[in-house]
Amino acid sequence: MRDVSVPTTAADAPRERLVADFRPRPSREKSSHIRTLFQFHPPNPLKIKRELTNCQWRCYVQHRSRLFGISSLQEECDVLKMTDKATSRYAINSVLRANAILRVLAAESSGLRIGELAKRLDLDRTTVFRLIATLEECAFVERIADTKAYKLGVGIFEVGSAYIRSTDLHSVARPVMIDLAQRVKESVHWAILSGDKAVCIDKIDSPRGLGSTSKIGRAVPLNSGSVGKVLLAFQPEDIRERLLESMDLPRLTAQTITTAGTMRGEIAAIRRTGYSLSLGEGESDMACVAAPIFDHNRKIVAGLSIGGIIQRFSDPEGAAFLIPEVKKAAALISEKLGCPDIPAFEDAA
Amino acid sequence: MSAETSNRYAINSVLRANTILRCLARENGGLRVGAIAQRLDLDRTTAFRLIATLEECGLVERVPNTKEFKLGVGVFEIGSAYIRSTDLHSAARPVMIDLAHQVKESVHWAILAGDKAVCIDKIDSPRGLGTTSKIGGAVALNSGSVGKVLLAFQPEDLRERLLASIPLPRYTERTITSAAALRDEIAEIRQKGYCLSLGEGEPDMACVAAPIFDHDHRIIAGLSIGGSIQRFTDPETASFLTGSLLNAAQQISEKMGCAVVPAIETAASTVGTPPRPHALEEMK
Repeated sequence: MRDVSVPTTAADAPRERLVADFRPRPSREKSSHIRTLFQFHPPNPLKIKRELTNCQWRCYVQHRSRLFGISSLQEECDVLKMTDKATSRYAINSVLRANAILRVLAAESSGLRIGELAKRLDLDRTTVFRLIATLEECAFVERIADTKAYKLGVGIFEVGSAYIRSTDLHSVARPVMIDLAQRVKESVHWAILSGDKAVCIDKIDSPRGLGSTSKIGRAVPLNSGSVGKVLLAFQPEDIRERLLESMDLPRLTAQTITTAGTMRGEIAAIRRTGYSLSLGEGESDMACVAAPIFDHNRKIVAGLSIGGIIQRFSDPEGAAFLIPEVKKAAALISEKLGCPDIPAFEDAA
Repeated sequence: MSAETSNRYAINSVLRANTILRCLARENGGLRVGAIAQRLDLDRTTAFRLIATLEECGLVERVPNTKEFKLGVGVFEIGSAYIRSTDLHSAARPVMIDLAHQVKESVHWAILAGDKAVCIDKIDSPRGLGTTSKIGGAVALNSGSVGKVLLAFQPEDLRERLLASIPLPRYTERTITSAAALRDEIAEIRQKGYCLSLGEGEPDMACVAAPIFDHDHRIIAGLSIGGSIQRFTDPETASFLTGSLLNAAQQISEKMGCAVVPAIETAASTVGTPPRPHALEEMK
């Protein structure tokens, strides 16, 4: 191990050290290019990623994780992707950037100062200042009293709760979910696909003392549990393929699926049986079962899942009781949403 | 919230994007680009570019099989992060749940947002009958009790500024629609420490609200219970409901670090007083 104090962020790292450490796999036309990339300071991982091959990128990530810890890199890239102009020529920059600010603030509940936001978004301070001033006027952001930090404001909450009102959730799905929670004595979740992640937008608590903590509104990767995989499995084929190519498969536990190949196999099984059982893939002592919900167009609109401690689900009798209950409840909601015929699955209850 | 603004730092496209999101929030279904452009007085190209960008951000989605747009899950993701950051659930929720079971009515937690009161959490009444108010719904400050409590305990300069500028729509015969009457009401609320409102939002509903303070003695929210007007006009049950509410509000304020709740001391002695003179005047 090198005998040097570890810098706290990539921005503080001495530039020369990064250049010296990085040893990419040979790819002659790329290597001279790579040194020039590190002249960006602080290094913008998204720009770097575009220039490297997959092997080189993995090397880079390894070296960076030795210095700064691996978890931050994925989040940094996610944030920078939001303001990446390469996607659409219609996109309005300031709106993309405002969205990026809101997402970053959403992840940091204790608020951020303008300087920190500028660093994370790779923008200059004046730009960030103007964006914050505008967002403050819209009430999407508020200043924390007595500090120079900003956090989310109540305006975005008003708009966000209007989203729930526009779904059929409360009238159609909730009664069924409440009934299911009583029957299986576990927490029940309703989740939808958002980009390449799954977001839980409603939850009925387990009637028992111990239940899963609230993840309402949090976006999780599709491989971290059963409902993400169900949402992926029943997408139309083109969307499914696109997601499989591009989505992240972070390793959360020893059981997590991290390769597209294994995921494909799992998806085929889910499409056959109509449910997904996940044991310890999101957290090592938790398990969940999920089933798809279809609307009147026969498209998957959400996933219904129950979750609890792993023993109840790994026991064959327990699983034999819980799985059909979830499938039944999901089929009932699909029917209420007007789905003309639920696809016939194996082991259908 | 159009492009006209006194804030010289404001970025127009972000302001317009905000207007679009608010417009979609008011519509329960979807809207086409043309309809949005018309309502907000924008030209179609501008509206289209904004909506395309918002769609890319996940804040807006297409309604499947139509050319309409509605709010996307992105706003919900960000909005729910707001709740997580206000630290509501750990301190206040258990007390609110207890209160709901005690008084058998719906309990609301609302905060001041601009010139409106927004309900950001609600515990449903354990009975079949409860208020239909929605989380995230905003009401004017003159209707019902919680808006007036939020207004009454603001620092004086903010209070005066709001009184000068807020709209005072009329909902029923009893709604207060003049700033002068509202000012008198506020003085009374500050003295009593709570607000009882009978039939001002809807003729057969009533509610009572109390303020929640933080460690700086600043009002951070209003706690209220609401139900049918009979329970609140009968003096015995009214004093029971108000007393329980004040207790709960005090408990939560203590958890938020407020050592001594200022107005509550006098409140206990005035619980169950007959309706204020204004209500009678408004009814004439």
